[in-house]
Amino acid sequence: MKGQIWDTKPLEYWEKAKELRARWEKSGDRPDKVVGQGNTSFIVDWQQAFPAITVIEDNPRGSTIAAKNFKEARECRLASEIRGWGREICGYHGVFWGQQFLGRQPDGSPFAEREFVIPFPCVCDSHAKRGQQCRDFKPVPQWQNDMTMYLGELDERREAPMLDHRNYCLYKTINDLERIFGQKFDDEKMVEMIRAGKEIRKIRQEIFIYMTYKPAPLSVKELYSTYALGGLVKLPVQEALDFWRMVRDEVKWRAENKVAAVGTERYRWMEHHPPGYYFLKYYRYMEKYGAVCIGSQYTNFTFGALERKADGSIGARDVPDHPADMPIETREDELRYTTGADARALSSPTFKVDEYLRPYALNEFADVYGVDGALLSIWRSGVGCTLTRKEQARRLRKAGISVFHLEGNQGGDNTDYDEKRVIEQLDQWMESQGLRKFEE
Amino acid sequence: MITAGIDVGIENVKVVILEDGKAIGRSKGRSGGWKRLAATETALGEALRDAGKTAGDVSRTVATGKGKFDVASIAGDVITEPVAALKAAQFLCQEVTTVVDVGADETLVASVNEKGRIEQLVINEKCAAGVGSFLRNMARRLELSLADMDGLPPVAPDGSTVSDGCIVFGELDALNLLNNGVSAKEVASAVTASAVIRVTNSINDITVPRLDKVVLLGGLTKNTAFVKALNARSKIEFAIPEDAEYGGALGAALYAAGWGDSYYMENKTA
Repeated sequence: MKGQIWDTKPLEYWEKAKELRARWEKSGDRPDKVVGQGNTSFIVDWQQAFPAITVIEDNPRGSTIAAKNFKEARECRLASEIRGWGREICGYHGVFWGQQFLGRQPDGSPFAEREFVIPFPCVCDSHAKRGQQCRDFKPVPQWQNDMTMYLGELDERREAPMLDHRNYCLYKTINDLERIFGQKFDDEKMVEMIRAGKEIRKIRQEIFIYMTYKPAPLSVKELYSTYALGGLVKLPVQEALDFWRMVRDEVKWRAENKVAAVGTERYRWMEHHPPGYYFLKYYRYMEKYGAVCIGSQYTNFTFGALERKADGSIGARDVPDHPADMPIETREDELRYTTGADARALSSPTFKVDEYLRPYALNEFADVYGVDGALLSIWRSGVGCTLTRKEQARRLRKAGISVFHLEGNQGGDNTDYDEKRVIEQLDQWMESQGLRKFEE
Repeated sequence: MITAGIDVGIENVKVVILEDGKAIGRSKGRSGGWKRLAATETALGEALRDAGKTAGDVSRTVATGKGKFDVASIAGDVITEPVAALKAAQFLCQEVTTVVDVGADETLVASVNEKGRIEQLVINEKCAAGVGSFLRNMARRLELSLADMDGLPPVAPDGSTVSDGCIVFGELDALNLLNNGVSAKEVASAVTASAVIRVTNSINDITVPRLDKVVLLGGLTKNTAFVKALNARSKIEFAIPEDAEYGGALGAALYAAGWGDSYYMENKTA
C-alpha cells in the first residue's frame, strides 16, 4: 500500500458480523412468529421476552438498501412519495416503507405484512410518524410510546413524573401485546437480558476508548458494519454478548499492538450524524490522503459517550444513571431500567442525551478522539437534519478543528446529491490541510 | 526555469507563463464547455506567444480550477483551488492574512496563519454558487457593460432587493423588478448587493478573522461595482493585485516552479 505508516490486518470478527447481519436481514420471514415493526431496543431489546414475536427495526434495513441498491431505493422512495410521503420524512423510511407498498424485499421475496407497529419513541420529529405508513396500509394496532423530554440543566421536579410516564407507556404496551397476541412476557428472561445489556454497554465503552488510540484500531467503516448488531439489528442476547466480547478482545489487541484500521493514518476526522449511505465510498477516498474517519456522535456516542476527566484521562461520560446495584426483581424494576434514569436522554443513558449537550458534545468528541478535522453534513431534511450544524461548525473552528460541510438531501436519499462536487470539495479540504493523495 | 499555470474555470480559462519568479505571459479565453481542452490549448498557445516562448521552453505545467482534470493531457499535475489561490496571494502580497477568491462558480475564503498555511477554509454552500455567472448573466440581461456598472451605488437607492439565497430566485426577483418599471441600474445595484451578501456570508464564516491584509482574487475583481459594494458591506479594504484575475493560474505556475512543495506534509504522522 502506498503511504503505509502503520501495520494493518483484516478484522477477524468480520465474518461473524456478516453472518449475524445476514441472518437478521431475513428475520422478518418467520411464519412461526407475529411480525411487528418498530423500535424496541436500546440497552435491552424487550420484545425478545415474548416467545413468538419478532420486531423489525426499519433504520438498518432502509440504510442498507440506500447503500447497496440505488435502483431499488429509488423505486421504493417513489412508491412512498406517490402515497404522499414526501422527502421531508427520513429517507430510510421512504425506502423501507416503499418495500411494503411494493410488496417485496430487495431479493424479490415477499414483504411480510406487519401485525402491529411500535414507532421509535421520539418526541417531536419525523421518527414518531413512522407508524403511520404501516397503519395506513393495513389496520394494525400501534403503540406510540411517549418519550417525554426536556432540555437544559437537570430538573428534579420534571424527572420523576416524566420517567413515570415513560414507564407507564411501556408497561401498557407490554400488557396490551400479552392480551392481544395471547403471549406471556417472560420476566426472568427480561432480567437476564438486562444483565447482558449492562455488560454489552460496558464493553462498547471499552471499545470506544480503544478507538481513541493512535493509530485507530477501528475506523467508522468497521463501526457502520457492526455497531447496530445487538441494538437496532436485534440478536438473541447471549449471541450479542458473545459477539461484542469478541470485538472488544480483538480491538484491545489491535490498539495495544498498534495495528491500524487504516495503514495510512496521518489525519483524523469526525462526522456528526449518519453519512450519505449511497456514498460510503468517501471513507475509502479520504484514506488516499491518509485521512481516517474515527466516527461520530451517532456511532461512538450512541452507547459509549466519552469525556475527558479532570485528571486528563478519558472515560465514560458521567451522566445520571441507575445505581450499579439497582435491584431488578419486579416488572416495574425492569421497565424503569429500560426507560433510563434521565428524562433528558432517550432511553439509554447516553443516546440523545447530547440533544442538550449537542453544541458542546462535538467539541468534546473532537477532544477525546484527537481529531484534526470534521465533516459536518448539511442535509435538507430527515435524520440528522441540520439544525445547529453551522453553530457547531463555528465552535469546532474556534477550537482549531478544520470543518468542511457535505451537502445533500439526507442519509437515505441521494436525490439532491452532487457526487462530483463533493469529491472536488474533499480534495480542496484535504489539500488545504497540507495533504496530497498517496495514490490515484 | 519556465513554468505554465492553467486555471480551467467554469467560464474562462486563464494561463500564466512564469520565468524565474516573474509572470512573462498571460492569456484568457472562454472555457468552452465540452471544448474545454481545445480552449485551453488555444489559451496556452496565446500565453506562450505573449511571453515570446514555445511549448518546448516550458519545464512544467500545472492546472487548477473546476476543469483541471479535463486538461490532463496538457498539465503534468493538478492542485486544488485553495492552494493555488494561497500561493498566488502570497506571491503578490507577502503579508496576506486572508485570501478571498470569487469566480464564476465558487467563492472561497482562506485565512492564513503565521506559518503561511491555510488556517480556516470556507467554500460557498451549493445554493450560494455561481456568483460570477449570475452577475455576468444579469449584466447582459440588463444590457449594462462593466463600465456602465462602474458608478453604481452599493445598494439600490430605491430600496429594491433581490434574493440573496439562490441565483434562480434572484433572477426571478430581478425580472419582476424590471417588469414593475424599476430602472436597469437600480436592478443592477440590487443584483450586485445580493452577490455581495453571499460572499460576505462566506467571509463571516471564518471564526478567527485575520483581516490585516485581505487579498481579493478572481474574475470578479474586474467588476468595480461589485468590489465597491463588497468593501462597503464587509468593511474590509481589499488588496487587489494587478494580476488578481489570474490568481489561480499564477498559483498553479508558482507550484510548478516549486513554490508549493513545502506546503504538503508528506511526512505528517498522526
